[in-house]
Amino acid sequence: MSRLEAGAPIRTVIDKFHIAATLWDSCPEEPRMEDKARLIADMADALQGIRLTPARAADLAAEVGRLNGAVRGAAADMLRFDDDPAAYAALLARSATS
Amino acid sequence: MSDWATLDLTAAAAAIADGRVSSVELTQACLARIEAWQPRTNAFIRLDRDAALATARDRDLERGAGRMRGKLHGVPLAHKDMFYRQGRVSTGGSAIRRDWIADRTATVNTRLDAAGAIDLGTLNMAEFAAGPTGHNIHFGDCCNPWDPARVTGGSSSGSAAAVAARMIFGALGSDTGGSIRMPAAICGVVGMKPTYGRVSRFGALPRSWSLDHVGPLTRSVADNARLLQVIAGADDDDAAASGQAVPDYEAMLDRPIAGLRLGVPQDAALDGVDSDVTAALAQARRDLQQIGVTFVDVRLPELGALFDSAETIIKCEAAAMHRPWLEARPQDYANQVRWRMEAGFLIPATQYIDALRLRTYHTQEFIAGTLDGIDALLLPTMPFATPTRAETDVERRPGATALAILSRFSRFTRPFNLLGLPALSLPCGRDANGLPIGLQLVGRPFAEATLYTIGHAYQQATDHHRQAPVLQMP
Repeated sequence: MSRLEAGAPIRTVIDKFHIAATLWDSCPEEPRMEDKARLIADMADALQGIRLTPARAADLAAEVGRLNGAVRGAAADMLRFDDDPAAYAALLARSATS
Repeated sequence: MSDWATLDLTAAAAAIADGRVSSVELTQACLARIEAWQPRTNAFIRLDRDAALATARDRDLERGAGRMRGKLHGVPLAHKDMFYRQGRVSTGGSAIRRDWIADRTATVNTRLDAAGAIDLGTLNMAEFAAGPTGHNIHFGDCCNPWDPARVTGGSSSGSAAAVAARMIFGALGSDTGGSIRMPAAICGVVGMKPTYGRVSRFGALPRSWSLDHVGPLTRSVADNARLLQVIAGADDDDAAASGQAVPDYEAMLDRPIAGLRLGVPQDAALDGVDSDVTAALAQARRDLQQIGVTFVDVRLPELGALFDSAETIIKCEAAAMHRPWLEARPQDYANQVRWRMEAGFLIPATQYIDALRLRTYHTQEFIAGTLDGIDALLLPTMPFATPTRAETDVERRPGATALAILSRFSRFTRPFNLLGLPALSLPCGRDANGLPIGLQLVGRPFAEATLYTIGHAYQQATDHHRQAPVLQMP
């Protein structure tokens, strides 16, 4: 049974994040900002050992949500399986002109 | 000569080589300017008066013995306080590194030394090179020599202010989102962000390994070409430093520019740019047309997408490198510096990697699209007239208004850190308050020489770069 199916036990904090992140992405209704802020605060604490105030968590939820959404969307549109970050230096060298 | 410090760098170097002036005299002239201007600008963090004069005496003895070290023999410079010298304090504009002694010497410092330059001291900067205005709560704000109530731009604030006020003949800065070009524009000097990898970053305080660029700030394009010539090139200590041959930039300054094609973005791309800035750009376009440049309308990509990838990269890399201090000494950061990094802890690694992968895609599209058929792109450096220090002080007066102004500073600069393309800012006018306005030329990878050729021709036809702030006594 998938961990995301209804009734599945939430065993770890990572499970919780998987569920939340999936809901964040796929929920037909935009999650409430206070839920996003709580998720960010939990992630900061559990994954990075950082305690955030509710106000700061709300700011970061907005910032991270926007950046992640923008990059994820661009990646979906533009990137292919074989795209390698190191291709950048080769591109500059190949395009060099004086 | 009434004040040797008012010469251009290349003229000062020639005067030393010809024996018209000594390095000691030039250094003393700069020290006199610093004494007069430092209280108004706070451009220097540390002044190494005695060491500089001792080095100048050595350079004069060498010249007397017929030994010239290189193209900067005896010329006084100073640099943003982030280029390490082994055994000397390098603060990075921070409280955390206020007493930190560098364990290595930056490659750029080694190269400047080998060319014979004098190092007068270290210059003010935004804390850890993070901030576009020139505010610094640890060492005091750097103030614009044209009007100390207004910002210098950042993060290479002291570099731009000191060059503008003729305290030094040139300076190095670093640029991760516009930190050379913005202060250069706001203080009325020339600033070059070279191609990514053109200049070694070894021994330079990092802000974001993938987006950091080291480059010169000077009074003229010719001076800038000389400094880049000295510092550019491959470096075994920096894997990102390119092995591309370094052209003779100075020899290429006087190439004919008739027929060169400059791209200008269609009007919508410049929505929201202040009228003073658009008027100065329009005049610059007419001036360039007069000397034979052809203009072509081009389409800019959505700069917001480039901005988002750059922001993702910088936040993740900064969070990683600052983690130990953010955990142990968060109170030693300015709030706005800490806030800029915190999101990096919460962006997944997959997003960071995708932002790096997108860099190649965006750069390829830009070269093949926007730059197709043109030699360079003409843009404003800053989108608005220079604000005051008070209205942009997010540390002392946090609020939505200040943050909104800050968010617009790097609109036309940060995208080119992601793309890694060379970009040159040079003065092209003044705003209604008398503060300088800068134009920006963006070129193809490693085409710094083309930008210099265009910029030099423009400076032969105009005198914006000759205008200097005047010291008004209270």
